[in-house]
Amino acid sequence: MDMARAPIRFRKPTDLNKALVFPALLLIFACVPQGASAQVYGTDSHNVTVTVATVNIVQVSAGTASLTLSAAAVTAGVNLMGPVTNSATSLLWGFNSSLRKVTVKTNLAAPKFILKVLAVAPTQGTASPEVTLSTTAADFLINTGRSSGSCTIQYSGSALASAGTGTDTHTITFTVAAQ
Amino acid sequence: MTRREDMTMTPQRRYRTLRLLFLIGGVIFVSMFLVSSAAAQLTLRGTANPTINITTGTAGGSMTSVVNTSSTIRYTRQAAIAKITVRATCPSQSFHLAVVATGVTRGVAAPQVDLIDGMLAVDFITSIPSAAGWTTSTPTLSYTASAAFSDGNSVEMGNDVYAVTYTLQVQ
Repeated sequence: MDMARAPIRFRKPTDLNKALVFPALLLIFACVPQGASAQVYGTDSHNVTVTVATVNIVQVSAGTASLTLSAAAVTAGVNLMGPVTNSATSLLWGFNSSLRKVTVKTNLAAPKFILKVLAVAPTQGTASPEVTLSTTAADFLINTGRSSGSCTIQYSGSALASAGTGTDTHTITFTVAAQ
Repeated sequence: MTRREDMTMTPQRRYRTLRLLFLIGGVIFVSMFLVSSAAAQLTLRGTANPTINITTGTAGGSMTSVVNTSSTIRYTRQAAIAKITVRATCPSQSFHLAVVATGVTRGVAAPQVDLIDGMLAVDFITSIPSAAGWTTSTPTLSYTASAAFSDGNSVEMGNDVYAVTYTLQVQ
């Protein structure tokens, strides 16, 4: 009898046939999902790390602010002349650290006249009360948190008539400090 | 022929069984080959795991964004029109990362995609042609990292580590 042409017969499964069932099922389960998602041709991935440095900066908008105490600032019989104010400059900042504040000081150790400064309308944080400038840093702006913002710098100059005439030139320094 | 005799393994049946085993083995081999070759249909090249450092900012403004183009994505022409999608995970995400493909000559680059932790896959390059005339294409991955001052810094917040996955699939 030619085995190749033998009619197909259903036979009781042999142990070998049984053994083939599991690999066959495994193959089906392995390949069918691939086939079902056969639309996926390939995939790859990598890690991208983003680091952000600590950046705490302040910047004054313009270079100079001038105040002049003239006769108009004098009241007859009063020793104190002024005050006169200047709000031409502003302070900008950017803090990405928590608990930061801005302090202010002057380099002029012995000013002849009185110069005060105040943060006006800060977009973030709280303005400290008006500060009489000295070489010791004083709070200018507090509770800013992590923020970016600006405020107007309002200088206020006054003088005692008894101090006479002259010119004080200050270099004002704003500093970011831990609160 | 008794049932007992029918259960015995004749040489002919042994031959057919072995032939079947070879056939199954061949199918498994080809399937594994196809699966492994599928992985090569899309590969990321260049810097394996890029790091982007944001170091400056503008007072009264924002931190300065940084662009990184050190990685490329290489994909192969398929039998059907295809597309590439992108998705990402980034536990404890604090900052911002976006990606866009530049220099795309096979397909159409999607607009810049913002990568957000747990996002669903988003189209990245679409309409990748199946027509002959090209084999592979390797556009650049342009990552843009940005942060606001209010987002904090890595010392306080830790780094953002994005696992970004690209998938080439039928469109």
